[in-house]
Amino acid sequence: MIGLVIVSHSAQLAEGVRELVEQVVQGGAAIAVAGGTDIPDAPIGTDPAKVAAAIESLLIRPEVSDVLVLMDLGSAIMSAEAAFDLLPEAMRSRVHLCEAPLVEGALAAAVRAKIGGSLAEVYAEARDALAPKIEQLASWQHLLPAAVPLAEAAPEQADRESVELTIVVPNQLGLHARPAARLVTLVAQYDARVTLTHDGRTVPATSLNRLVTLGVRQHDVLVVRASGPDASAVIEAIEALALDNFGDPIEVTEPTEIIAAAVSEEGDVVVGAPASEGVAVGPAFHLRAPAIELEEGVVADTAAERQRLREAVAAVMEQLRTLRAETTRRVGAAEAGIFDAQMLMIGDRDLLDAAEEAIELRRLDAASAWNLALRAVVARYRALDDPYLARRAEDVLDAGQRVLRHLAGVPADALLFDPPEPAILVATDLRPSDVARLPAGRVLGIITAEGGVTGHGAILARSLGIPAVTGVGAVALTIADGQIVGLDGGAGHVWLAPDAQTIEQLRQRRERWLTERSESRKRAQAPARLRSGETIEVAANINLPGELETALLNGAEGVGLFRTEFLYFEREAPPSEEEQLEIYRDAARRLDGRPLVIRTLDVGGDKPLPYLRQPHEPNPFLGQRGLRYCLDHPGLFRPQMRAILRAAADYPVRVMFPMVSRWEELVMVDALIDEICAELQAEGLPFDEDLQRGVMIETPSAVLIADHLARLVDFFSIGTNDLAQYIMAADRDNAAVANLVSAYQPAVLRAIRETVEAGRAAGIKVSLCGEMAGDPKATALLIGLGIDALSMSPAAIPLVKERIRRLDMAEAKRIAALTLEMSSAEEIEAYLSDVEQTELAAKRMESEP
Amino acid sequence: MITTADMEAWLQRAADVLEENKGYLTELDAAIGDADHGVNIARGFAAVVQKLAAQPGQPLGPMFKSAGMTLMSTVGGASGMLYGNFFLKAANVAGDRQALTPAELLAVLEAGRDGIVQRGRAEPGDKTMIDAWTPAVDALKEALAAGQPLPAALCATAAAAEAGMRATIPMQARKGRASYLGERSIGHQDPGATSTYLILRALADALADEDAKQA
Repeated sequence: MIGLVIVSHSAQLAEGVRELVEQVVQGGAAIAVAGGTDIPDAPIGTDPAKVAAAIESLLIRPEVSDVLVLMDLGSAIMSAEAAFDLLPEAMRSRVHLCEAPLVEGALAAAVRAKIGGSLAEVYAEARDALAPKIEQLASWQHLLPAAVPLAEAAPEQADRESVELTIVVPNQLGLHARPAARLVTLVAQYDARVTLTHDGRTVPATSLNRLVTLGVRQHDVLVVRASGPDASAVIEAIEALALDNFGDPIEVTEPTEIIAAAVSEEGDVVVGAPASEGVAVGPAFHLRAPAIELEEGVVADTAAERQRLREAVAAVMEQLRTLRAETTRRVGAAEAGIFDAQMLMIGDRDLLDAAEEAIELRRLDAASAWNLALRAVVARYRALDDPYLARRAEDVLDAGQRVLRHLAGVPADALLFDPPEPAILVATDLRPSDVARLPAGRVLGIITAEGGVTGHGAILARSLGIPAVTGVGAVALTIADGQIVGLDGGAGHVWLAPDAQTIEQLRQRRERWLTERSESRKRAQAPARLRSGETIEVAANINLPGELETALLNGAEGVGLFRTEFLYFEREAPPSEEEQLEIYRDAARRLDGRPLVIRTLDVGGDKPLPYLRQPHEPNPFLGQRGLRYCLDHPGLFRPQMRAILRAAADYPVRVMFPMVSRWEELVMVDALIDEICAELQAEGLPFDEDLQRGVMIETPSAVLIADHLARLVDFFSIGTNDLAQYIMAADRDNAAVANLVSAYQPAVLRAIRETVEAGRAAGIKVSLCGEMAGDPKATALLIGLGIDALSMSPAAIPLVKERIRRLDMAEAKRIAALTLEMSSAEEIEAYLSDVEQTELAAKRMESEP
Repeated sequence: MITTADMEAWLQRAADVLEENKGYLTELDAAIGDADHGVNIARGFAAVVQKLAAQPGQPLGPMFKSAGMTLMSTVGGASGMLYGNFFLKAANVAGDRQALTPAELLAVLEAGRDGIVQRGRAEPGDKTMIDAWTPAVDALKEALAAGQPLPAALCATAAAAEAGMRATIPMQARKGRASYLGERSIGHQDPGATSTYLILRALADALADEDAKQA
C-alpha cells in the first residue's frame, strides 16, 4: 500500500492531519508525521532529519510499497527535498513528493490508498483534491473581488485567493489542440493552480489532453479559476490570450480544409507540385514507420519499468523538440506548432500517470502499459463530436507510437516501403535518405503531402526517372493502402479515385510516356550540337552510383556533379578512404572514359550528420557549410581528398569544391592537396598530381571575385539553386519566401553572365549544374550567355539535348541579350516559355508535314 | 593552504558575528518576513560550533557535512535548509582533504552556492541570498584568476557580497515568504543576503587573521 508522510511547520497541525485522516479511514492508513522542530525555543519550523525518519519508518513496513510526502509550505517543501537527499539511495525511488494541498490531499490520498490504489492513483487523487471544493464554492466566487492586483491584497490572503475569469470562446475552431497548447504553455509559466470548467466538468489547465477533450467550441462559456501567488497575473495573461483569439487567426482555414476545397468535383483530381515527369497508375502504398508488435509481458521490477517508460517519453520529447526546430526553420513556426501540441500531449502527466498505473496495478511492461493508456486518450479524442478535434486523435497516436518505437529500439526515423506489388508511394515528405533506400523497381510513382519541386525528394525522384507529384496536402494521407490512384508528374495532377475509364486512359498515357522515353533516350545518345555547329557538353548530376544507369541510358556524357553527401548519410561513421576510393573507381569505371566530377562533402547545419556533432546553428544556410566545414575538419576531409586523388590516377576524375566565398579557401585547399600528394608519394600510392579542380559558383561573393578564383581552378560550375537563394536573400525551404528563389531573377542571370565573362577571360570552362540546367526553357538563354557545359538531373537530358540541337548560336545570343534587358523574373519566364512554345510548335509542324 | 583550523576559525567567527547581528537580522526580517531569521541563524551556527568542538580533528568533508546537518535541524526555517545544503554540497567537494588550495576553496564555495540554488530554486534578482552569493563567488573566481593573494581575493569576495546585499534593497521579492508582499517588499534589504554577507565577511576576516599570524 501507499504510505503517507505529513510534513508541517507545526507539530500540532501535523498531528491534527493524522487524527483527521485516521478518523476517516478507521486505522486503514500507513501514515507518519514530521511536524515542527526539536528546538525548545523555536518549535515552529521543519527538520529534514525528522522527515527522513518519518519516511523510513513507513518504508520499512512490509505492506508499504511507496511513500507519498505531503507538506505545507515554504521550508517544509525544502525540508522534504532535503530529506529525500538524506535517504539511502535504494529507498529514494520509492519516495514521491506531492504538491497536493496538505489537508485535502492527505484525506483524499489516504482514502484511495486504503482501498489499494496504485501510486499513480493515490497521487492523482491527492492532486485533484481541491476540485470538489472549488466546484462547491464556485457559487461564492462572485462575492470575491475580481483580479485584485497582488500588492493590494492582504499578504496572508494572496496565496489562497482564487481568481476567476469567464470567457466566451472566440476562436472559430474552439479550444482545439493549438490554442489549448498555447493555454497550457502559458499557464505553466506562472506559479498558480489553474482549472477550467466547461459544462460542469472541471479539469486542470496543465493537462492538454483533458483540456482538448472537454470539446470546447466557439461561443462556449469557459470558467477559469486560478489560485496561488501568481493567480491574478495568470488570469490577466489568459484574458489577454483569449482576447487575442487564443492566438488563432480570426478567419481560420485549417490546411486540411483548404485541401478538401482544392479537390475538384469530377474524379477527385488534386493538384500538387509537378516534381518529376511521367505518368503512373496503380495501388497506393504508404511509406510508414514500421508497426510495433506488442507482446504483453508481466514485469517484476515495476519501478525499473516506470523508469524505462519515463526515459522513452523524455527521448520522444527530445525528438519532437528537434522536429519542431527543423520544421520551424524549413517551413515556419505555424507549421511547427503541431509538434508543440504533440509534446504537450505526450508530456501530459495524466497520460504518464495512467501508464504508470497500468505498470503498477497490472504489472504490465512499459510498452503495453503505454499502449493501453494511449488508446484510452485516443478514444477520448475520437469520441468528440467535433470532427476537427476528433482528428487530433491521430496526432496523439502518432506521437504516442514514437514512444512505442523507442521502447522497441526502432530508430526514430526508420521508414519502410514494402508493398506487396509495385505501387505508388505515398508519404508526408521524402527525405533524401528515404529515397536512397527505396526499392526503385517497385515504385511506380510518388505522391507527397509536403515539399515543392526543388526539395531533395523531388530532385531524387527526377534523377531516378520516377513520376512524382509533391505538396498535394494532407489529403495525400487519407489515401488508403491498395486504393488505385493515378498521377501525372508533368502536370502535378493526382487522381484519388479514378473510375475504370480514367484508369484505362492513365494506363495508355503511361505506355505512351514509357515508349516516348525510350525513343528519346535513344536519340539522346548522340552529342548535343547546335545547328550552327558548336557542341555543348551535357552531363548528369548524381547522388549515388546507382543512378548512373539511368544517366547513361538518357545520354549523359559524363557526370558533372556527383553529390557525395549521400555516401555519408545513414551511417554511424564517415566512409573510409578505401571505401570511397572503391565507390569513385566503380562510378568512373561504369562511365567508361567519360569524365566524373566529384563534389567534396557539402554538409552543414542544414544537412546534419549524426556522427559529426555539428553545433546547432541558428541559420545553417549562412553557417559552416561545404568547404568551410571541410577545411575546419581535416579528419573528415582528408580521407575524401585522398580517395579522389587516388581514383584520378586511373580515371578522368575531377574535384569540385562547394560553398566557396573567399579566395583564401582555395589557397588552403591547394596547400592541403599538395600535402596529401606528398604523403601519397611517400606511401608509394598512385595518384593524379594534376587533378583538375573546379569551384562551385554559388555565393554572391564567388561571383564578384570570380576573376580571382579563376586563377586557382580549371573550371567553374554554377550552382543556381544556392546562388539564387543567396542572391535573393531568401530561404528556398521557407514557403513564405520560396517564390523569390528563382534562377530567372534578373540578378541571378546577371551573376551567371559575370561568371561566364570571368571564366572566359581566364580561359577556363564554365559549366552550370543547378536545376536550371535541366529546364529546356532555359537552354537557349544559358547557351546564349556562353555556358560551355550543362549538368542536370538524368531525366532531363534527352529533352535538353533535343532543344540544343534545334538552336542556332546567333539566335541563342539574341534571346540571352533580350532576356538580360528584362526587369522581372515573371517577365523573363513568360518570355522564355513563349520562345519554347513557338519552338515546339515549329518542331511539330516539321514532324507533321 | 587553508587548513581545518582555518575553517573552524571561520565558522566560529561566523557564529560570533551572527550572534552580534542577531537583532539587526531579525529587524530586517520583521519588515518583509516573519522576524525570526536572526535568532534562527545565530542559533544554528552556535550549534555548529558546539558540534565541531565535540568532534575535533575531522577532515573537511565530514566537518562540513556535520555543519550542514546541524544547520538543517537547528535553524528551523528555510534558511537552515539553504545553508545546510550549502555545507552538504561543499562537503562533497572537500572530501577527505585536511587542507584546501585557494582554487579548491573556490570549488567548495561554488558547489555550496550551487547547492543553495538547487534547494531554493531562486535566480539572481529574486531578492534572496543568491543575490549575495552569486557576485561573491564570481568575484573570488576573478580575483584568483587575476593572481591576487587569497586574503585580498577574499576581501573582494566579501565586498561583492556586500554590494549584492545592498542591491537587494530595490528588488521585488519573487521567492520565499517576502514574495507574498509583492511590491511592498521593495525598499527593504533581504535578511538572507545580509547573513550571507556576514558569513563571507567572517571568512575573509578569519583567513586574514591566519595570514597575519603566519607573517
